[in-house]
Amino acid sequence: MDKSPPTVRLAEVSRLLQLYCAAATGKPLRIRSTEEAPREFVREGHHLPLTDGKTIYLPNFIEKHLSREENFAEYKVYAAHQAGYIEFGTFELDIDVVIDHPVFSAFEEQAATVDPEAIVSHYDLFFMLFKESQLARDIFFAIEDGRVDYRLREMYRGLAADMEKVARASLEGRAVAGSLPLREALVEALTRLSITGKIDESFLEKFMVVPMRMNSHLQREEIDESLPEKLLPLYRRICGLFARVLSHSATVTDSAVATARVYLLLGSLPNVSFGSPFLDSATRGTGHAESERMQHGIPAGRGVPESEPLPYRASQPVAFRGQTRPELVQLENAIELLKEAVVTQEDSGAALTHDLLEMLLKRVVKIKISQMTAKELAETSGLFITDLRGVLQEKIGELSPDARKRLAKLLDRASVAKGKTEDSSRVFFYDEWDYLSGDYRPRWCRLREISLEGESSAIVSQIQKEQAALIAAVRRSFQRIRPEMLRKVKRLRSGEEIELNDAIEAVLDRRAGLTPSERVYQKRDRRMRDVATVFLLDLSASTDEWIVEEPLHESGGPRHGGASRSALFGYFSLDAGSERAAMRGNTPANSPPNGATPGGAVSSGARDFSPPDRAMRVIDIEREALVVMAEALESLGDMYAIYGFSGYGRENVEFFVIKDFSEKFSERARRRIGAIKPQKSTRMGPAIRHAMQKLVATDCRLKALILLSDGYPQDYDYGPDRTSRDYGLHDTTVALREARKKKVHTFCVTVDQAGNDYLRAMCGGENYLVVKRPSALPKILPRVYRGLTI
Amino acid sequence: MAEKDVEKFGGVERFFEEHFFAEEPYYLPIRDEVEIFRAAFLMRLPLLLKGPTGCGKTRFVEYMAYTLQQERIRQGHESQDEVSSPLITVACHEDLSASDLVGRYLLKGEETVWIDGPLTRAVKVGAICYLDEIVEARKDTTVLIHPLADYRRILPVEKKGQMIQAHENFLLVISYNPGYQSSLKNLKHSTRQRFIAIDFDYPPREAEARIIAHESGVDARASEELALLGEKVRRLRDHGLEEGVSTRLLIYAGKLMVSGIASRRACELAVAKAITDDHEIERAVEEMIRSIFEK
Ligand SMILES: Nc1ncnc2c1ncn2[C@@H]1O[C@H](COP(=O)(O)OP(=O)(O)O)[C@@H](O)[C@H]1O
Ligand SMILES: [Mg+2]
Repeated sequence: MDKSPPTVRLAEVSRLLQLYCAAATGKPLRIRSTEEAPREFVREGHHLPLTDGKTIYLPNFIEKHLSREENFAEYKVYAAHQAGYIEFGTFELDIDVVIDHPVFSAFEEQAATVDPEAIVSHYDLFFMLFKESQLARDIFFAIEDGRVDYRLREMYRGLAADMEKVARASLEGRAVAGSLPLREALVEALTRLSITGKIDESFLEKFMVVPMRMNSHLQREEIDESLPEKLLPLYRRICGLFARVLSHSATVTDSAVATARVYLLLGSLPNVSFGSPFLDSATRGTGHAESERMQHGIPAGRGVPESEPLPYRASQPVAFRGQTRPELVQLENAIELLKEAVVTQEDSGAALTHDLLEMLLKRVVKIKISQMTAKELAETSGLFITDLRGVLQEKIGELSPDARKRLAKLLDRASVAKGKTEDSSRVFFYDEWDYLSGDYRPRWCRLREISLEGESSAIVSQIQKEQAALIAAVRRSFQRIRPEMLRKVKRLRSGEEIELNDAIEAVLDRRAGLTPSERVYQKRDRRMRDVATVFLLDLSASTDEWIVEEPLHESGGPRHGGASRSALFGYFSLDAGSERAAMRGNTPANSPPNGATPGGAVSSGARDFSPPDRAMRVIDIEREALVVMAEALESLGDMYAIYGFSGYGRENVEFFVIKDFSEKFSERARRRIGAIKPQKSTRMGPAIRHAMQKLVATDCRLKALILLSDGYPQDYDYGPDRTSRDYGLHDTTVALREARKKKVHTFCVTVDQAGNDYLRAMCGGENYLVVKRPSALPKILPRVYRGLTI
Repeated sequence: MAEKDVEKFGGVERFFEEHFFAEEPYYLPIRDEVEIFRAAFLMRLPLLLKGPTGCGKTRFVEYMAYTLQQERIRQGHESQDEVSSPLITVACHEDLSASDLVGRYLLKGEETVWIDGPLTRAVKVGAICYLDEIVEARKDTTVLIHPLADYRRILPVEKKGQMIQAHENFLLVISYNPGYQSSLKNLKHSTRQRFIAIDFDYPPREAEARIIAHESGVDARASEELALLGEKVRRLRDHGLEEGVSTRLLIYAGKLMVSGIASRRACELAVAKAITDDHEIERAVEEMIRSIFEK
């Protein structure tokens, strides 16, 4: 594909275009390849751009032009047009507003035939008003696309030049209007007019009833001279109707009204070819008086054409405008709102009723809905729209409208507060990084905060007893490092050194006859440790697995070899990066960990063994390490919190509060530590992001996030490909990077022996450690902590 | 923000500015901030101006200080001839301490002389004291702010063992940008609880266009385009851009245009490159610039 240098591929520019569209519309739109577009959206084949309201689909590459600049400009015009639909309100068509316009009185008959039970969008209903719905569609898109492009050119004068080039090029290869049957010819003429967006001012003055704003100068050539002389009056009237939407204040409603008018004009013509003798009678008397009549939608009585009318054929698509189907976009938007409502009501425990749904949908779609449970809705959310229609339709009928008020309130919340999180329900939404598109999926994950309650703190007491020696050692070691802290305290009565500014002030004070301050010393701080740390615990199902380690004394030779270096440090299997990270801030003299027993780094991540003697699961070791850590931290006085996370799917990320920053290591917190148990998946991104929120709220000077895990991030829908870990790894990488951007020190400790494969990239360098002997975690964790927070 | 922070002045580093206005500072009211300020001043309630950098907070205070003083002069409460400075602004930074604000003794030959700090001056002469980015200052400054910001309206001058009762026209105004340093420093609640808060944000497009036109001298069309660019670029705040683009920067772009730099180039320099180091965001902003401006 990439054969010539000027080719621009979507992958190279998708993030750029994405940001561009976000800036243009204020909406978090994604950019994807047209190949990924949902089937039901694709009308005209895969190469034409389109949008579903959330994503803009563009061709994989563009190589039309000789330079990269031009090819990129082409992309930009495509994207800008699709974004323009959103920017200028194409999807906001409201049939109730449209239908109020007098011109639609002419469509009453047809309107009566519309099936009120059908589940349709405003657009569907709109097109149903027209007997010849394809003709109406073609007219509508010519007009509405013209309006959108007009607004684009007006707002973006720089882009207008690029648009003009693309538009001109798109005229080539279109049928000559004069070669088509009557109706098609006029539609084609209108389409051409709409593509160029330029109307000859002088002739419009003659034919226009309403004054309007011109967007350009006289363009003689735009008048379609291929049309026979006799059709020109009609054509000019069409031009006049179209010109009304070329205005800053015109909306999609105006396009809809203009569509009806043009339709009425064309509907009065049979679709015969130009050679037909009908032409003479058809165009006779399209003078002024008659045109008034036609304006009000009264079709003129006409003689029967002598030649057979041809079936109307759809207008040729305009490539750069693409093939967006607004009726489906409206449905998509409705579903989006529905999903959100489902989520919201799940949290508040209320039932999703008919009323709720109907109110919800009235804003976006005309849907007659009947009873449907939240669960059914949630299940349909992954289906194609057509299927949803089916489900909805099936459910029409029986309903008992109960808690109206409560649900109405709920609805308001769901639809109004799209971007806001509900504090009270303790549900939070987080963006997720999609490396495939190079942008965030906004509000992708729904995280629920759960406070884990436990029954007994017996396990913790037992650990405290068993690990009493270690706890004491860690405490001592923390005390030893405290004087090394760099923070200076000024204004002391005595101290290590004199602080110059204060000393000068004191001298001056004495001269001035004041009692000078004696507080002119400074020293390194002991008290002003201002540290907050989150211990974030992976509670995935795999933490249930047993760990088998060979006893230390048997470790004459390491099982996996290459452990000579680890022998130096006892518990660590350190690669260069993690070693330095773990040792950071320590002089070599106090490098060996407390209670370090040199030994081989023999370990085994062996799984699925039956519990051997003194066997421990990953989770038990995590618990042990946390208890040791907590005990030591209580004596140091640093702020810390302990959270666990798991969940299943992006809608169900669970965040367990074991100990919050504001809590002491109380009896209750101990019970909670006792209660941690293996859960489900490992979606790390949202858990990290949520922990970050908590950290930031502490307002401490030094913030650290320590992630304890036993494997790579994983969840059933963590990325489009279940079998690939890349998506989850990328999201986690980005989440950790976000944290570091906010000046939080991040560190990952894992017992996953394969961790070296991915942790370097995930943790952004050296901020990780693979623990070879999981049972050593309680000793290692305090060292990590010390290294991070000094 | 940092333009006037530190200036050499008589051997003393000057970190504040005493404003005298030759004419009315230009300020375009956006909402009801003028009325609120007036009401707050009437009741002598201290004010907190919240908002991103470069959105008009300082200019607003300048305007209010000038206007209120002019009214006093017109009503004969203040004499035309010996006007004192109606506004003293202090750009706070992390080394700014209480004595910087209150004053200190300095050596003059063998003598020591007391020099009032900006806050003391404002308290004495009855000026509005504007402490810009207050969270940046050292914590000991809160000791001064609190008694000044409640009903007592007194300034403790520890060195001299004095308490100064604030002049009746004194008003304390502080500013705070909740955006950019929120993760590091937040305004303490005990401080916050003493101030009426006015929210500031970048002006809406039309107002901003007028401001840009006035301040930079570009024509109406260019100023509209600049304001449009501002609106679009600020939408990238959710996509990795830390702060939007300030009105100030848009004015700079306008000034570059007035001095003959092509529009696109001026915006590239003053906007795209100024606000971000993220290459893709910079590119996206540049594309937006190319879309909006013809040349
Ligand atoms: N409402 C406004 N009226 C007049 N000028 C404004 C207004 N808002 C912003 N400005 C312009 O923007 C510039 C930056 O505003 P400034 O008050 O210094 O911002 P802040 O104090 O919020 O950082 C000012 O110099 C002024 O030219
Ligand atoms: Mg300022």
